[in-house]
Amino acid sequence: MKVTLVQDILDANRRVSAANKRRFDEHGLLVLNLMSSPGAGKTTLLEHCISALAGELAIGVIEGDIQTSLDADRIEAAGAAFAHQINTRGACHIDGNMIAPVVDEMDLDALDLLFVENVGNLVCPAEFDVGEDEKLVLFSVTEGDDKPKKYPLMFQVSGVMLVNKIDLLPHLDADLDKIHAHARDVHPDMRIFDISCKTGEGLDAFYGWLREAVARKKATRV
Amino acid sequence: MHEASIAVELLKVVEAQARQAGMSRVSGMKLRIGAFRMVVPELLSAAFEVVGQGTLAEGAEMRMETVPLVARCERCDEDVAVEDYVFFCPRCGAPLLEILSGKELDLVEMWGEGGESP
Ligand SMILES: Nc1nc2c(ncn2[C@@H]2O[C@H](COP(=O)(O)OP(=O)(O)OP(=O)(O)O)[C@@H](O)[C@H]2O)c(=O)[nH]1
Ligand SMILES: [Mg+2]
Ligand SMILES: [Zn+2]
Repeated sequence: MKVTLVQDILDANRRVSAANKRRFDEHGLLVLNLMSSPGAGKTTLLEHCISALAGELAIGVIEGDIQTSLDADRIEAAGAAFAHQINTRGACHIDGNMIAPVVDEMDLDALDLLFVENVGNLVCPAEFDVGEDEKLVLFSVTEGDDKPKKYPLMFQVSGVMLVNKIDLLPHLDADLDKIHAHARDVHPDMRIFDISCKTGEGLDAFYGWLREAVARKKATRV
Repeated sequence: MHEASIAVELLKVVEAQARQAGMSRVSGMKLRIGAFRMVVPELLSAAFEVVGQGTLAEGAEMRMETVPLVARCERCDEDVAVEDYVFFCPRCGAPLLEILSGKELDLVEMWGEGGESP
């Protein structure tokens, strides 16, 4: 027999993720899905956010890695209100199903902001929602100006781009304007922050954006 | 390499749909894949061959149809084919913020044994 249908292959994940999102929404909790290549500086950025906003925002982090809990250990040491490590056991992205059981054990009211640090990879994480409000792509200047062209879907699904390691620019051929232009080609209204997690440059602007985004999300709580 | 992730999701969908239709074996399927997904058909076939082993869709034939990347230009009030992933209107230069097609990842047809309508 033959069956005709139109079934979105990623629909199952989208549904689980939508259920996760409803739970976050009920608590007015802002959830950000942080994605990048391996080693672009995701965990370092989160460590900075946690300590800079201590006493102001209670930040939780769900860490996704193929192996080890090293990143969650770092997040815990930085003083996070919640840290959980997911080992994806080979999968190169986090999906909604992996998040759901973690959400079960979290006190959602105790947090103002939840980050999901995705597995270092610019391809698969772009395809799988987890229940986030926004996807953030972190990009380090050491990766070459043309990454947004090579991984357009990642840069199109992300509303915010953080360009990290700008302290290294004097040592590289990388051109910040070109990076911005390439990202805006695939995402004309992309929000961009140039930062260095080493010198702290540009981080205050990002913290300001986080504060506003948290306040906006809390205001939607019914 | 994301073809492997997609193949895993595809198998779940194929198994669920086959069960629903009462099929005992899936010998082929047709997919519609948006150009923006950047799926390499040969890699997806190869990945599905691996994940499909020992399932009712083992060795299933895969046909794939690519859907072009098209966005809407508000200013021209026209649908525009997006070239090289540059989301600006080639005619008027306005940003293209609404994607109309090109992100599909759909299973649209399956055939095989069993599941004759009751
Ligand atoms: N020079 C410089 N180094 C940085 C900066 N941010 C992070 N690093 C370094 O980059 C390396 C990787 O940082 P991580 O934060 O572990 O990167 P990650 O993205 O979490 O890595 P994975 O989780 O393994 O994908 C570390 O050695 C950091 O110290 C920066 O702004 N400038
Ligand atoms: Mg990390
Ligand atoms: Zn136009």
